[in-house]
Formats: sequence, structure tokens, C-alpha cells
Amino acid sequence: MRLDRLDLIRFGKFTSRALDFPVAERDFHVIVGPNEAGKSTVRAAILDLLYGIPKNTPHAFIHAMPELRLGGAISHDGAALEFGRTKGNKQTLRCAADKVLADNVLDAFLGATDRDFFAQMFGLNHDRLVRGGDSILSASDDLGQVLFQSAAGIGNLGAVRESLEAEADKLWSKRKSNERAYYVALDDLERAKTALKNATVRSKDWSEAQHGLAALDAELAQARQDHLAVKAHRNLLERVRRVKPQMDALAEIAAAMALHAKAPELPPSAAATLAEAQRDIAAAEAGIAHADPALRAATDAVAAIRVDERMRELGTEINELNDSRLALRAHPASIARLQAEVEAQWAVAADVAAQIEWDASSEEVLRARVPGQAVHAELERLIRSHAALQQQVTTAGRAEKAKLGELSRARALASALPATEVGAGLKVALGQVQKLGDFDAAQVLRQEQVEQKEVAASLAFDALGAWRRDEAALRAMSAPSVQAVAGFTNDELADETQARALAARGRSLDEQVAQLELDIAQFREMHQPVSADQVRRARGERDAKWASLKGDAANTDGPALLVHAAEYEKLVEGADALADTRHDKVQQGSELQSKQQQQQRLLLERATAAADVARLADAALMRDAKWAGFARECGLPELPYQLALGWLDARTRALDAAQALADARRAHASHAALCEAGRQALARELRDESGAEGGAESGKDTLALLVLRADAIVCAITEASGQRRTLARQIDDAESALQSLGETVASAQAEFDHWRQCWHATLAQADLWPHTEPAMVEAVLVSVKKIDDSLAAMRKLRSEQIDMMQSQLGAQAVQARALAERLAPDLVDAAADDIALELMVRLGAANGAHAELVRQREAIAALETRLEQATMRRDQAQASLAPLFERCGAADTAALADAIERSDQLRRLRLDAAGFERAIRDGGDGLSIGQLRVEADGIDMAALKSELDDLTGRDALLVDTLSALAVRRQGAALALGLIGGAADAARAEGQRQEALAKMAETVERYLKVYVGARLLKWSIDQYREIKQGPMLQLAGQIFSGLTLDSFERLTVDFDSVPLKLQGRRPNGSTVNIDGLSEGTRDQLYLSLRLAALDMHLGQAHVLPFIADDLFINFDDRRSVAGLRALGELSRKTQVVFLTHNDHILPMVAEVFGKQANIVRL
Amino acid sequence: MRFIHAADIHLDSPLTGLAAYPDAPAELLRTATRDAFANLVTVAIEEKVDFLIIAGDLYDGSWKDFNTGIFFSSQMGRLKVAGIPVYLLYGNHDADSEMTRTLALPDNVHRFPSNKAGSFRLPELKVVLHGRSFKDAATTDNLAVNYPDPVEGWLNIGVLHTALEGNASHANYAPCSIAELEARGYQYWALGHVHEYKLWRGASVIAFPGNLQGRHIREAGPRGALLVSAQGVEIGAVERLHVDVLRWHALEVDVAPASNLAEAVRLAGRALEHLVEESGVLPLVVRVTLTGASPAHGELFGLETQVRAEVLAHAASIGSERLWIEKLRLDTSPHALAVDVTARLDAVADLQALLQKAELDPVFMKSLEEDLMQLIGKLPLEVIDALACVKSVRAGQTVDLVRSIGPALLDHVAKAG
Repeated sequence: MRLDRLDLIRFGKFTSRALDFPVAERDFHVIVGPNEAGKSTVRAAILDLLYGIPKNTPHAFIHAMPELRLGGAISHDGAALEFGRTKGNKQTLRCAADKVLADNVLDAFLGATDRDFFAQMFGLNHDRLVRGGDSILSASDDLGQVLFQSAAGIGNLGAVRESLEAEADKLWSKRKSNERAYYVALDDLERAKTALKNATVRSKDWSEAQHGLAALDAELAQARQDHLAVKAHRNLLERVRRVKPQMDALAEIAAAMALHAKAPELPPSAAATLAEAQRDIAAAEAGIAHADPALRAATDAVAAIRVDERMRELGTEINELNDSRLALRAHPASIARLQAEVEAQWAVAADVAAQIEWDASSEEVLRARVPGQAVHAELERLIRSHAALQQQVTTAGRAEKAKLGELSRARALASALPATEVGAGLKVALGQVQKLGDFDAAQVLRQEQVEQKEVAASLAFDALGAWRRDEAALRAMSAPSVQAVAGFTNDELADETQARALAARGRSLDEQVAQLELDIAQFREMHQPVSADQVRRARGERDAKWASLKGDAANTDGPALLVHAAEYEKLVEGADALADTRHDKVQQGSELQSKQQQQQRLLLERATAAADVARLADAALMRDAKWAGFARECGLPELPYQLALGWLDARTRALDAAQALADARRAHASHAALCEAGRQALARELRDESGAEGGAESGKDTLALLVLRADAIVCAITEASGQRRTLARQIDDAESALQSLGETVASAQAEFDHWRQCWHATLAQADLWPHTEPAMVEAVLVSVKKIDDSLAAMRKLRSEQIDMMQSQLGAQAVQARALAERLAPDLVDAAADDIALELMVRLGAANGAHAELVRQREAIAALETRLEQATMRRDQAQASLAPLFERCGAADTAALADAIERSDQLRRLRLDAAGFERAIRDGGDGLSIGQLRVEADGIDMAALKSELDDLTGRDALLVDTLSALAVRRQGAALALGLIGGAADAARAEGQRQEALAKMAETVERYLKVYVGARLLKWSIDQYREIKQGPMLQLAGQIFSGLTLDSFERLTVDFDSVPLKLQGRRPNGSTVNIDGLSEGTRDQLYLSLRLAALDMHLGQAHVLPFIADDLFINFDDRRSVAGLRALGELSRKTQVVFLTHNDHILPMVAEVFGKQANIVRL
Repeated sequence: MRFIHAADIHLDSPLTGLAAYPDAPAELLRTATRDAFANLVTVAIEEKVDFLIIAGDLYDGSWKDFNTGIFFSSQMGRLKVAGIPVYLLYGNHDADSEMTRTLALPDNVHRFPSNKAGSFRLPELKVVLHGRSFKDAATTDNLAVNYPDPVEGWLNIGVLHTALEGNASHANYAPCSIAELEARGYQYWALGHVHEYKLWRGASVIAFPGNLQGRHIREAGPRGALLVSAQGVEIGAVERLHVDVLRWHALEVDVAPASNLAEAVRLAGRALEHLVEESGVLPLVVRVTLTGASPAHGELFGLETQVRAEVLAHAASIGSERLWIEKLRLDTSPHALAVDVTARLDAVADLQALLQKAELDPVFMKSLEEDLMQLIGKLPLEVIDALACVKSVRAGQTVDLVRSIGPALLDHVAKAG
């Protein structure tokens, strides 16, 4: 299939743009445009046209998605189709009439291809070329992979295989690893199995646990019964051993009690009562003997003591007086010191008064002379405001005077200015002229331009040479179009290029024919091969001989027959020998035949080339004749078409120059007219402005002089007008300010007059001279302040300290005298301090006597109490013994003591008996004494101990047995209890199933990826075996061309495993892929791709090959080589070559001549 | 009068085919049959049914853990407290189970004899139940023919564990026909053994309730028991009680429109979301199978692990507590155009031809088989049984595996450029 036209109706940046791809012998088309011109869009458009516009196409940035539209014409095997493509999911094909076409209408043109295949197999750009080079480097150790990747345009085959192998290895390998999924699952499975085994409880386990528990229960019951029996007998023996001694002791006490049957019954405390009574009586009698004499001595002492009660009654006042004495004893000295301070203050005040000549004869006089606080403060306020008010009056007066001066000067200046205005006409005329700018220079410049254009036009018309015409004739003639002329020149260029190529081809073919003839001759000489014709001829001779023999047999005699037979045998041998030789040399024969066929092909090609050369010569003659007629029709006889393009260009330049000259002349005349009009207008206005006397002069002046004069007049008048406005504004401002300043002066003077009145009044109040200046008054006020301070200090010392102390001392003397009159008239006239001291002494003596009296009285009372208590105690002791005497009938305390002793003995026996009975009851386990006696009577006490030991041993054994059985039972019960319906086993089984599922999942995936990897490797090896020969041979030829014969061909390193691809240099050395430069690797990949494509095109559906900027990294020579390779491809299929580089176009022309269709974007 | 008819409880039978993954709620999965049975008992108590029938296969035959029996006994204790009697018939799985002989059950559980058909009468309801337990697992006699005659005027219920006319997917135990059952003259046949729900209303009402809880992908859909109402000797409504705690679902996703892996995963995600929205609140265990002739066929083959991870992530985003992926299967085929790759006659077409020839290379096939057997020889039998591809390799049919992988591999390679 080939693309005849591509219509970019609404697609990407294009609107209604058509690209034609006309058929040519070499179907090679170049689309050239700078970056952003839309080459990628064109490439995408070809794909989208053929296979549909993708859902998310990036080419809807100008035209909306639904509006996208492509069209085109394609052809294949004689069939052609014009169609359009819209965007959508289905029914996107349209016919020329915009009706929907069936979706499969392109199948006949595209075959079994899809978009990916087309892009992959028939598309190659710089990036994919580089990636392809990289991919064959990464696969350089595997020839099969290199060939397949290059042939399929797939760069990731190795990655696919490696990823499959890597995944398989992660899943399973013979070597166990915790990183591999299978073994992880296997470990999970083993853990789950173990957990299941541990958690599973079988029915048998449950039955055994249940039976075991029952058996242990029975055994435990029996052991408990035995233990109870042993324990009961042991208790009996223990009881007998416990109570037998108490029962024996009880019998002995009963006997002793019988001996004391007649003893008196006295209370248990009788002995203690007797001892206590005897002790109390003795103590009481001793106390009575000691108390009597002491009581008497104390009574005598009380009678001798005298106390001054009057003194004691006033004790408080005496103590207060003494306290007052102690507090005021420093007052006299303090009063003297303060009095001295008062004197000193007075001296200061009197001194200051003398300085200001005031009367200081007494304190009262001076105090009356000092002015009051209010007067003093008013004087100070007036002094402070005096200077400011005075300054205010002075400043206002000065300002008023200055403003008056300014007003006079402004008025004088204003009256001196002229009073005229500029005329409007003069302004307009001057403005019109000024718009022309530098009119003289412009006039000169325009004149120069006219002259230049005249020279240029003359030269341009001279360039027309023999075919020169005037301007009108030139414009009127029908000159040949550039396209028409280019058509002739392009055809000639293409024919010349083709002729050169044909000549070179012819030379090459001659060389090849000569070489082949030489080869054939040498081959014949060396191998002497037998051709089929030779054998056929020999056999024909043989058969003819035989036919002759058979036909002449009847007429031939024996000797002749023998001769003929011999000849026939010779012919048979000869034919057979030739046949054998041909059989033996069939290969050489075949080769010879091949060379001969090749020779014939070359001769045929040479003849074809010669015919082409002749055809080209004829075409040149026809072209020249056609042009001659055409030139005559255009009025340009004899103009060769080789010069036509230049002449057409010169004609265009001549017409342009003539047009430019006319324009310059028009501009020059227009400017001169404007200048003259301006000059006349100015002259007229200046005459009006300056009067009739200057009019004649102005009419003759040049425009420049008139402009200067007008400008000077306008400037002077404009300046005076401005000054006048400024002075008027200044006079207005000064008059306004002068009024305000007058009001300020009056106000300041009034305030100062008011101050003066206040000043005189206040001076009078302060008894100062009425005209004293403020500065003097301020000095007097300082002295007055000093006097006032001294007088105040004196008043304060007297009132707050001296007067208060003297008052306190007076009160103390009155108190002392009053006390002395009441208690010690002898002290009435004494000083207050003395009275206080003496009264304190007397008060101390009275208080001492009183204390002694109290102490003696308390001693008497204590002695009397003690005597009374001793008597009472003795009587009570004697009374406590009376009941005992009465109960036992004793006469004295000795008999009483004996009776008490006997009574206590009987009581102790009874207590002992009760104690033993209680012990017997406690140890008798609830049995009565009688039952215990019966039990004890049956026991041999001598054997009791050994029997008890025996029972104790048996008891211990039984306890151990019971304990062991209890533990076993608990274990059995626990084991049975654990079988409680738990789901542990179910969970473990669940885990086991999960591990199995994981394992199955892993194995399933492993089989897929492992078998996939193996299949891929096997297939690639097979591919290599099949394709290696033809593909490498063809790719080698292309590679040699692309590398400019730097490499001779491609070979295989058969010694390596796996096989490696190598490049072979002309000198026989080889280079592995990893030894190739990056650029050469790209060329190797391109060679392999083109070889694969060539092989593919030989057997499959043909589609256009889209090459996008393939030679970015190729130098010029290699780019040309690349173009040649693509040129060879373009003989088999259409090649569309996209490039951004104009630089490639000459190379394209070099390789393709005029055959290449160049489309500019 | 109302009773529940349940069968094929298979207590503590594990859920199979589930490969746990990090977000999978494995704990819930592992006690599903127990939880479903406890649900059934709860429903029986709440509905205050008159009795419960279990028509065989209470246990899994190979299951040994006696705790299962104890659990069953405790659930029977709950019914005893509620005053609900249970009529228990042993099936082929129970006949194999040692627990059947050993376990002591509460006295509200009445077991049908195995030596001959027996009957239990409920005079207050005028209901009589006839049944015969399996003595041996391999009971292939027709037991129904020897069931007692119906009691006139009473509601006669036959309890039987049977394959019923040779159900293809279940072992042919105690076979009989519907006509034979109807000929007995009972009003209701409570059957067990077949795990799918079936109901026939004819001369008799005959029903399989299906098993109580789906345990693998072949037991997809809702599961449970039957709540049967009767008025005198007339069987009324037969309602399905869905007591399963999680439900299996086989989800097929047509990824034919997907041109790559991401789009295929997106389609699967949408299908999962749709399924969850429709399914209600019960958790789902889903097998996702991607089908269709898709341009993404080769990519899916090459990146199956990634596809699975992305589908799992999608399921997790929907809600791991509601949706668990049992398995992701790829059952896609090459895209229509890719099928015709032969006609392109390029290198990929050559590769296709070579891949098809691989099975004819005896040296390659033998080497491949030997390699695979290194793994397969070590696999547990349960894994072998679960994988048809492994079984075919073991049977010397490695060619099946090679044929199944070739097209996907080709597509994968062709799209790798």
C-alpha cells in the first residue's frame, strides 16, 4: 500500500492542508520543516488516517475533538481509495461524498496489520534508533536476540525473558530460600500441620481422659476411708496418753482434802487483809507523833509577823510613778538642746531681714512683714509671664513692618511691566512651520534620495541586458512564471544527475561484465564443467549411432558390425563419461550457469542503461525546443531558460527601482511646497504684529529667519505675561497678610497692658514699692522665702517638741506629790524622782512581810490535815480485822493468822482438783471422766508409745497417697476440661488450607513463567538458525555502505556460546558489538532493521516506511550513505522521510535527483 | 407448626483455595462453618420452631478433632434449654466419623438408627419422622424403599441422605428417585447430601436445603437451611434461611475493551464495586476471572503478579472487611488482530510459528518436562489435585501447558517493544 495524498483537514495545528506524495521510480518523499512546524503531527496523522484517531489524542488543541478530520488517498495493487477519517469509536471512515464507509474497507489495503505493528515495523525515528542500538548492545552476547529484536523492532525482548526468569526464580528453585514464595508457603504449611496435630483431640483421647478421671475418683475415695480409720485409732491412744496423768493427780488431791475437813472458811483475801491492817496501824501512829510539835512552832511564827497593807494597796500607783520617772529622765537635756536650735533659726531670719532692710526687732514684727502665700504665688506667676508678653508685642510689630515693605516693592514692579499679548495668527503660523522639523535638512535629504533612486533605477534597467525595455513595456509584457522556468531547469538538473548516474552505472556494469567474463573463462579452465547440452549432444550421437546400427543391421556384415559396435561403445562410454562428469561437477556446473545468468543480467542492465542515456538526450533536445517557442511568445526571443530565472529577477528589481524613484520624487516636491506656504504665512503675521514698517522686509526673508523672529516675539510676550500674573498674586497675598498682622499687634499690646495692672496691684498687696521691676521683686522673693522657712522651723520646734516635754514633766511632779501626801508626808517636798525611788523601797518591804505570813499559815493547815488522816487510818485498819476475828473466833492477831493459813490450804486443794478435772475434760474429746477411765483401763500404757508411732507412720503414708491422687485427678480433670469444643484445630486446618492455596498459586504461576522463559529462549535460538544466513548477508551489505566501507560485512563468532555477532573489517579483523562506537551501533541496528524490512517486504504486505530524523548523529557522508540505503528501500516501498534540517536537502538531491518529492511545512 | 430442615453442615470443614494475604480476615474464614451453625441454632431459638431436622453430614468424614463434637453438643444444649428437640440422621461423612459413635449428646437429640429405618412420634403435634442413618459411608443401596408406611392422619416426614437419581456432582449414595419418594406417601422429604438448594412440590414436598456454609468457589451463592411451615398434614411455605457468615462469588470481568493493564484493573475494580453494592452487607469471598479477547492479554500474562496486587489493593480500598479476593484468574485471549499475526509475516509472526513448533521438538519437551518434574515431584497431593496443569504434566501431557502459554507469551513479547 502507498499513501498518495494526506489531507490535514482539521488536525493539530493544520487546517485544510494537503500533502501530495506522487508516484516515482524511487518512491522517496522528504517532509522538511523547522522544529514546531508539525512533522510529528504529520507522522501521527498518517497513523491516525490509516488506523483511527485515538481516544485521547493530543492533536485537538486548535480543533475540538469531535471536529478533528483527516483525509487522504491510498492505493495498492492497482486499487485506489479516497477517504476521510473522523474521530470516534466506530464508523469513522467517510467517502468523498462524506458518507460512512464500512470499518473494514481498509483491510484490503492494510492487510493483517494494526497500529502497533505499523508503528513498530514501518516506523523508525532517532530515539528508537538509539534505543535499538542500546538494545543490541545489551543483547550482544546472544545473536538470536539481536536478530529478533532488530527484525521485530522490539527492544525489550531480553528484559521480557529476564523478567520471566527472575520471577520464576523468586517463586521456586531447587535451592531452598526464605525469599522464594514456594518455600515460604511450605514453611507455613509445616507450621500449620504441627499446630493441627497439637490441637487435634481424637475420640479415643477423650474416652481415655474420661475413664482415667473416673478411676482416680474411686481410688481417691478408698484412700480417704483408710485414712479416717487410722486417724480415729490414733486419736483414742493420744487421748488416753493425754488424760491419764491428770486422772491420777485428781485422786491424790481428793485424799489431801479429806485431811483439812475442819479448817475455818475464811475469804481468800483474809491473809492480805490482816497484813494490810497491821501495816496501816503502824504508819498512822508514827505520823501522829511527828505532827504535834511542828504545829505549835508555826502558830508562834504567825503571831510575830506585821504587814503595811496601805502601802500594798497603792502599789500599782507607786510602780506607775517609777515607770514615768524612768521614761522622762532624759527630757531636761533634750529641752535645752531644742531651745538652742530655735535660737539659731532666729539668727538666720534676722540676718536675711537685715539684708533687705526689714524690721527684725522681734519675731512677731518680722512674721507680720512676710507677705502671704497667695501674694507670693501671684508675684511669681506675673514675673514668669512678663518676658513672653513683652516679646510677643515686639515680634508682631516687626512682622507688620516687614510685610508693608514687601507690598510696596511688588506694587512698584507690577507698574513697571509692559501690557501686550501674542496674536493667534502668529502662533498658528509658527506652529505649522515647527511641525516640519528641520525643514532645510529634510529638503536636502529628500533631494539626495531622489538622486540615489535615479542611479539605482538606471543600474536595474541596465541589468536587463539585451532584453531591456522601458518601464511601461516591462510592466505590460507577459513574462514567464518562475514555476515554469523552474520546471525546465529542474528537469534539466534531474536529467543530468540521472545521466551521470547512468554513465557511472554503465561503467560499473562494464567492469562487472568484464570481470564476470574473466571469471567464467577461468572457471571453465579450472573446472571444465560439463553442460547439459554437451551430455545431450553426446547422448544424441550415441542414440543416432544405435539407430543407425539397428537400421543397417540386416545389411551389415560381421566385421563392419564390429567396427560400428566399437564406435557405438565408444560413444556410449563417452556419453556416460560426460554424464558422470556432469554429475560429479554438478555444483561447478550450477555455479557456471549462475555466473552466465548473472552475466546475461548485467548485459541486459547495461543495455537498459544505454537506452536510458539516449532517452535523456532526446528529452533535452525536446525541452530546448519547447523553451524557445515559449520565450518567443513572451517577447524574449533567444533568452536561454538557464538565464530566464535571473532575467525575471532583474525585471522585478528594475520595476521595483522605478517605483522607488517615483515615490522619492513625490516626497521631495510635497515637502518643498509645505515650506513655502509656511514662509508666506509667517511673513504675513509678522507684518501684522510689527506694523507696516517691517512688512516689506518680512516678505523677502527666508523661512528660517522668519521663524527666529516670530519665536523671539512670542517668547518675550509670553514671559512678561507670566511675571505680571505672579506679581498680582504676590500683592494680593501681602495685603491679606498685613491685615492679619495688625490684628496680632493690637492683641499682644492689650495682653501686656493687663499684665501691668495686675503687677502694680500685687506689689501693693506685698507692701513693695509700686515701680519695682520684676527682676528685683524676684530677688526679694528669694530672701522672703528664707525668712519664712526659718520662722516656720522655729514654730515647729517649739510646738512639736519643747512644749510637749515640759508638759510631761509637770504631770509627773503632780503625781509624785499626791502619792507622797497619802503614804509618806515626810516626802512631800522632795523632788518627784526622789519620791518615786523612796516609795518603791517601802513597797518592797511590805510585800515581803505579807509573803512570809501566807507561807506560815499554809504550813499550819497542812500539819493539821496530816494529823487527822493518821488517826482516821488507824481506826479503819482496826475495823477491817473485826469480821475475821468474829468468823474464826480468834482472840488476837496471831490466832487469826493461824486460822487464815489453814483456810488457804483447803482452798488450794480444791482449786488443783478443779484444774485437773478441766484438763481431763479438755483432752478427753468430749468423753466423760467415767468413759475416759473405762478407755484408759483397757490400754497398756507401756506399749502406748510404740503403738502411736506405728499409727503416725501409717497416717503419713496415707496422706502422701491422698495428695498424689489429688494431683493426678486434677491433671486428669484439666485434660478432660481442655476438650471443651475449642476451634484451635479448625483454625489450624484453615491455616493449612491457606498455605496449600498459596503453594498452588505459586506453582501455577511458576509453571507459566518458567515455561514461558524456556519457550522464548528455544524460539529465539530457532529464529537465529533460520534467519541468520540471509539476514546477516543483506544487513552486512547495508552496514558496509552505511559505514562507508569501514566494515566489509557481518560475521558470526561460532566459537562463543551463545553465538555472537561481529563486524568484519576489510583487513579481516573482527569487532564485537560492544567494541563498536555508539554511532556505529546505531548504524548496525539500522542495517539490521532495513535488512529485516527488506526480507519482510519480499513476502508480505507492503506499507509506507516512515523515517523521522534518522540521521541526527550521522555526519554528512554517512547521512548520504543512509539516504542511499533508504533509496534502495524506496524501490520496494514508499519511504516518507521527515527532517527538520534543510542541510539534508542537497544530500537528498545528490542521491535522488529530481525524483525525490520535497514537501515543506 | 414449623420446623427447620438442615443438612450437610460439615462442621469445622475448612474453606479451601484461599491463599491468605495481608489484609485478608483469616480468623473469620477459619471458623465460618461453626459460626453459620451457631447462627442456625440462634434462628431456631428466636423463631421458636417446634423441632430441627439434620439430614446427614454433620461432620466431615476425615475430620478427627473431638472438639467439633463438643461444640455441636454445646449448641444442642442451647436448643435443649429452649425446649427444641433435634432429629439427627447420619450421612456418609458421619458414618466415617469416629465422633458419631463416641460423642454423648443431650437428651433432646434423637438419632435415627442405622440398622433399619426408625420413626419418632410427636403426639402433641401429630408429626411422625421416619429415617435411617448411614451405617457405612459407601451406602449405595436404596434406603427409601424400606422406610415405614405413613401414619394415617399424621404429618409424615421422611429424612434421608441421598444422591437422588444420581446427582452428577455428588457421590451416588443411597440412590432413589422422586417417584419412589412420592410413592412412600409422606408429606415431606427432608433430604441431605446434595449441597445445592432444590425443591420439588408434587405428591410430596421434597427438598435439599443445600449446605449451611459455602466452603469453596464451587459452593458460591447464598447458603443455609429451610424453615418449613405445616398446617395439619399440609406442608405450607418453605422459606430459605440464609445463615452463612460469608458468601462466595465467581466474578467474571470482560476486559476485552482494556488496552493495557491499568485499564483492565480499572474494569475489575468497577465490577467489584458494583458487586459489593448489589450484595448487601454480608462479606464476600470473590474469585475474579478476567476474560475476553483483549489487547492487554500479553501484558496481563507477563504481569500477573502485579495485576493480582492491584486488584487486591482495589478490593482493600472498597473495604477489606466486606470483600476478600480468593483468587485472580487470567482467562483472557489474544486480541482479534493479534490472532491474525501470522498474516503479518514479520518477526513476531515467525516467533508465533516457532512457538507452535516447540511442542514438536522432543529434546526440548523432554528437557522441559524433566525440569518441571523437579518441582512437581515434591508437591503435596492436595496441591497436585488442585492444579489441572500439574496433573497434565505428571501425566506426560506437558504439551497442554506449552500450548496454553504460547499465545499469551507471543502477545506479551509483541507488546514489549
